[in-house]
Amino acid sequence: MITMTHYLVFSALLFCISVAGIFINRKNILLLLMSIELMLLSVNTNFIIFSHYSNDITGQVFVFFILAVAAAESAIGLAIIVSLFRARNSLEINLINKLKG
Amino acid sequence: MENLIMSIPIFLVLSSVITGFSSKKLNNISAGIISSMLVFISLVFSLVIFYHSFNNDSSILYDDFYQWISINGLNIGMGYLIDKLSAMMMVVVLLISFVVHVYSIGYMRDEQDFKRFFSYIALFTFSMILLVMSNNLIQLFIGWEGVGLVSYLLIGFFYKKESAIKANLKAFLINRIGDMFFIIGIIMIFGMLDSFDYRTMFSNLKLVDINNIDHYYGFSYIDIACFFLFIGAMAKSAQIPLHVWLPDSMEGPTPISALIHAATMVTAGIFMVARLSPIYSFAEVTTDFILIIGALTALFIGVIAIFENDIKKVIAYSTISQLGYMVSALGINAYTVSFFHLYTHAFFKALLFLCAGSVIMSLHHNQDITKMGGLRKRLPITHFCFLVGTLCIIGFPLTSGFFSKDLILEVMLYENTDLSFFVYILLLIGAFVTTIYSLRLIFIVFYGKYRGGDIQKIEEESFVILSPLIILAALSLLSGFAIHTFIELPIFMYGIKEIHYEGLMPFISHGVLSPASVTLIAGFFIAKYLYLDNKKTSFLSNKFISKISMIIKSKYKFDEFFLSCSDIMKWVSHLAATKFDIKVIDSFFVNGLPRKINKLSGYFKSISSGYLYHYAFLIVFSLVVIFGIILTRVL
Repeated sequence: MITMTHYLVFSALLFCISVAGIFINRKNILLLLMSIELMLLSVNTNFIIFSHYSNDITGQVFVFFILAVAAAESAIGLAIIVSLFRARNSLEINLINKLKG
Repeated sequence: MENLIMSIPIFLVLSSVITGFSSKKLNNISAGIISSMLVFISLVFSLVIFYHSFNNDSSILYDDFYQWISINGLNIGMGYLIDKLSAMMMVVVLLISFVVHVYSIGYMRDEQDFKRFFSYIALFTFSMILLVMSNNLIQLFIGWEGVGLVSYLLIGFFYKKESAIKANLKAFLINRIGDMFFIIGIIMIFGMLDSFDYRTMFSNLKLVDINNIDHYYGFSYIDIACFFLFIGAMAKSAQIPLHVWLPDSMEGPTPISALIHAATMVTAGIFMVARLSPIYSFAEVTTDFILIIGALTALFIGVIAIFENDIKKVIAYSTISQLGYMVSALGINAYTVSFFHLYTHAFFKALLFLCAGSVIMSLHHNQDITKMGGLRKRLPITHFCFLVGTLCIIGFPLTSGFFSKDLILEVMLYENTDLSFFVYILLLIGAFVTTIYSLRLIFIVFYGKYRGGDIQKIEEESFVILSPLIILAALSLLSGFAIHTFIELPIFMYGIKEIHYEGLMPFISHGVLSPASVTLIAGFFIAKYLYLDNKKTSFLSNKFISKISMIIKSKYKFDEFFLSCSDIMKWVSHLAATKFDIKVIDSFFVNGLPRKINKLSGYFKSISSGYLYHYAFLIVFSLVVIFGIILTRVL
């Protein structure tokens, strides 16, 4: 029997994977974007689980909004990446350290 | 009367400004004459004031003409207080100043800076008058510093001479030591009597419970305050061990040595103690200290003069010695006696200096007495005046020095304590020493054979130089007969020491028969034997005697003592500079703290690496920590 705990553990694992993807990935900025998407998906999973078990449809509706926002977000992110690539000819994260104070 | 009093300092300032700031159109001689005239007018005014205050027995002229500082009940004004003491002192100062002005016209006539010189001495006279006529301690202090400043300027008058610059620096520094203590003393007096004004001070003194004053280590508060004030007087009046500046001050022009460093400024310390006599009469320990210092100075500095070969320095040492007599009279509260000696000494010491100046001029600025001799025939008037001065200083009967010095000795004997008897013996030996060095000087300079070349070239100076000598010689001879006035001279509002005095004739006969006459006669024969007949005795080549004379010739190594003191100071300040300033202040605080902060900020700086994943890690990590804390709290 698959209980709510299993789902929650799954979503937590998904989240951890995406966080690890952000930390450990030092090569490509596209992977970073994908990790962020994955993080959002794990959160979405949480929404669906809770809405299902509490018999409330609101959570599932909210997921659609989040997906829509995430799509828009990744579109913007990809656009930024394209212009970044044009500017520097590379997508290596190690080279993006201009935030240094 | 008030206008007269006020106009004296104004005339003197005027004289200083005219001579100091006038254009080249005013030639030297007329500047000197204008300056002398202004001082002469002041002298006439002061004589009028003097006459007034001696004819009205209880009159004290007192006024504040200017309110200087007024803070919360503390009023410091500029004013004057003319009683018999200050009236007498003003006459003495202005008289000597006038004589020296006239003399200087002759003495300084070839100098480039003739007008600067006159400006300085007018400023000096002004400061001295300010000091003498003041009615509060602050104004006294201003005058005190003023005379110190002018003394500094005039010792270094020949500023191209290195020794003069060193001498004036020495005088200035030694006087700073005294002035520092003087200020402390003034403040302590203010702390006790709540006023700087003499009249208020002395009336508050009556309210102070003398038996119930605070004691510190066995000394009463008054003792300590008076002690500090006296250190100021010691520096100004050249008492052991702060006397070292006075012999060196002879680098200045000779008229200055007469005016400032013999007759007036150096007596400011004695004047100050006499002025504060009501307070000093309660300071029992300090007056004993004053007594001892005065006696030691009178004897031991006098001895140095026997071995000195510079004509001006001999007279300078004798000045210190005579000041010692005055100070020791202060030490037994005989203020009037001390002041009497101040008054007679002013005349005969100024006379001696001016005579020395005349000799120096005639010999073209040679001051070495070993190159003089036999000048009696070539300089008869100078010789006569110098003889008068010498007779006064050795206390030859009926001259002024006889009266004043004998009075000090008699009062000392009459005091009848162990200490005062000891001091009496010291002063008696001092009188003997005085006789020897004074006669030695006149014998070597004016008698015997000339040792400096052709005696025929020596000419007596002009009348401008000689007339002051004659005036002073007359004053020196006659001033002693005013003894009666001085014995009854009340110092300010308080009574005086009872002095047993039966009249002029008994005093003279008593004085002639006193031990002082024995020392006079003995001193005369010894000086005649050694210096006039020029005999060598085997006694002087004795090992012990020559050792003593070595000590005396080294001037008791006071200069070396001060030098080693300054070396210690230098060592301490060097230590402070290298150890404290560089090590502690510079390398720990000034440079050290920023370096530490810089190092610490380096650790924080490395956190913000600029890499995205570092920031993300930090965000998540801190979120986990925060949630962890919240969860542990909640559960």
